[in-house]
Amino acid sequence: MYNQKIMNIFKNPQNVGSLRGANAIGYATDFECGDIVKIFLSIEDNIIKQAKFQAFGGAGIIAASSVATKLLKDISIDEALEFDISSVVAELGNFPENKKYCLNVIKDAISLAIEDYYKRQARAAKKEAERNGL
Amino acid sequence: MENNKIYLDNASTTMVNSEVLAEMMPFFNTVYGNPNSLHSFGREAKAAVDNARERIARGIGCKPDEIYFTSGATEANNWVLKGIAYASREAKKGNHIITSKIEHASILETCRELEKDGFKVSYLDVDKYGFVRLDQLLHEISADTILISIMAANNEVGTVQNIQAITNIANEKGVIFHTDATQAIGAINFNVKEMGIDALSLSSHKINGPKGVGALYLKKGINIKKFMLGGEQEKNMRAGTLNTPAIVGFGKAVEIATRDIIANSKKLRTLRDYFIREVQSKIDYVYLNGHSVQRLPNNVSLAFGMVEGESILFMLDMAGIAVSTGSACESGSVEPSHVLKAMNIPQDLAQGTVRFSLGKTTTKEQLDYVVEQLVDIIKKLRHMSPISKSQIGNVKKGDKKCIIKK
Repeated sequence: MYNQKIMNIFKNPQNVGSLRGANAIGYATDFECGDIVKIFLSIEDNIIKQAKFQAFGGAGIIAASSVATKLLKDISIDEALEFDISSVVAELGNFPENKKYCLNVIKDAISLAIEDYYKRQARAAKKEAERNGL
Repeated sequence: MENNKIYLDNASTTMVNSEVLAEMMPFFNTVYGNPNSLHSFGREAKAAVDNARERIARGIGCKPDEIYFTSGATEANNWVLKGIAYASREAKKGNHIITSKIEHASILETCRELEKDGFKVSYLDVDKYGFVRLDQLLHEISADTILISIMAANNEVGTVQNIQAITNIANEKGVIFHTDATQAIGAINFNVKEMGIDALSLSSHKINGPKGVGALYLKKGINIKKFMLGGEQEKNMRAGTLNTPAIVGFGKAVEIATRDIIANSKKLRTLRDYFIREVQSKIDYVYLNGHSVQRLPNNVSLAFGMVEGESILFMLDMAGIAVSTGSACESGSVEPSHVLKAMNIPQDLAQGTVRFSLGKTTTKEQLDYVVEQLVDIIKKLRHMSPISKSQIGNVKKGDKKCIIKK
């Protein structure tokens, strides 16, 4: 079902766990297959410095999340918003066709993390403005 | 590692027993005649088939001429439903069938097909243990009901139905009762005559017999249409050259399974309960699916909180341990198990369910090794999990789809 590369990454995934000091967190559920992916990003000057993940899903989701967090490192937010899940598939060699759509949950989690980042920025800016204004 | 591999997927299929295999061997290249041929080669093969038929009949308490060999329980299930439904339509009788929501796909998909062709089907609910609701069964039976089909024991969660109670209801109401006994043979004693069962599906490969053979027991006098056409085999009811070696092996497998039922069940039950206790005492947040007592002696279906079954399966596989998630037939699809859904198991726990099905060669030492591995695997996967303890059984569906677009 899964190729050896996917199984190897699944066995030893990178970037697992929560990220202390993350300033962007995205939690996404796939309503069809029930998989959950949580992405933690540490963003500085619009560049993703660190990326980690937690996943509730099969071997494929875990391997793909590992690869996705690796690809996210050192790219800009703009690039991350355009993150194409097919780059993960390319890295993995191939992915079972009937399970491919489950990978979208990773993309959702990334987008939600960046949305979270913008919200935090807006809140911080508002606070800053309030402090200056008052 | 090869030699130390541990097989805990006996509900999917089993190893052929060596006694069974020994009986089968001559029928490949020594007694290879067609059992329907008139010459000595054929007569010899026919004698072997007849012997197997008698063994199976003895095993479930019916007459040999009430056993029809098929390619397996799937065919038997397809045939009994369609055959009885269309025979009833031809006789201008009722068109209503009752089954349950937790049946094997060969029953459920056939029922859906029959619905498309104008038959009415009621799918009975089950309770949290997987027991069919008898009050609902009574309520659903009408003058139009022609057949009730309820599995004897569930392949995924191991729940053993109150088959005698269901049979009694069907008999009282004069409705034909069929049971899919694929998982139950060798675990439950069947005497179809005493119990009042009208039809029963059996499979060989679940009881250490060869694959590709099974049977339908059908009480004499029940009207059924032919399913396979193109030959006069099986009293002109099921066309196709008989698979003599497989049938011989099947007969021997049923004989052994029913002969050793008490000793085997006792041994398996002891191992099963030991394994459940060990896992639950060494790992937190593990839940047993199905009933703790009224379950197949070899079935352990466990829901591991916060982790996903497929990940557990692959990690166990890397440690040389074979199990299945929910049910093997569904592991290729992304739909969660229909059985766990019918039992109202929360989706995260349904996804975290792994089935360990013990077999004749399972030992306590093997199970100790599995528990040891499980402890590490679950710890590792929980470290990766975004689900917290307080969310088990009630995982939030996640945030809305992202709204920002670049």
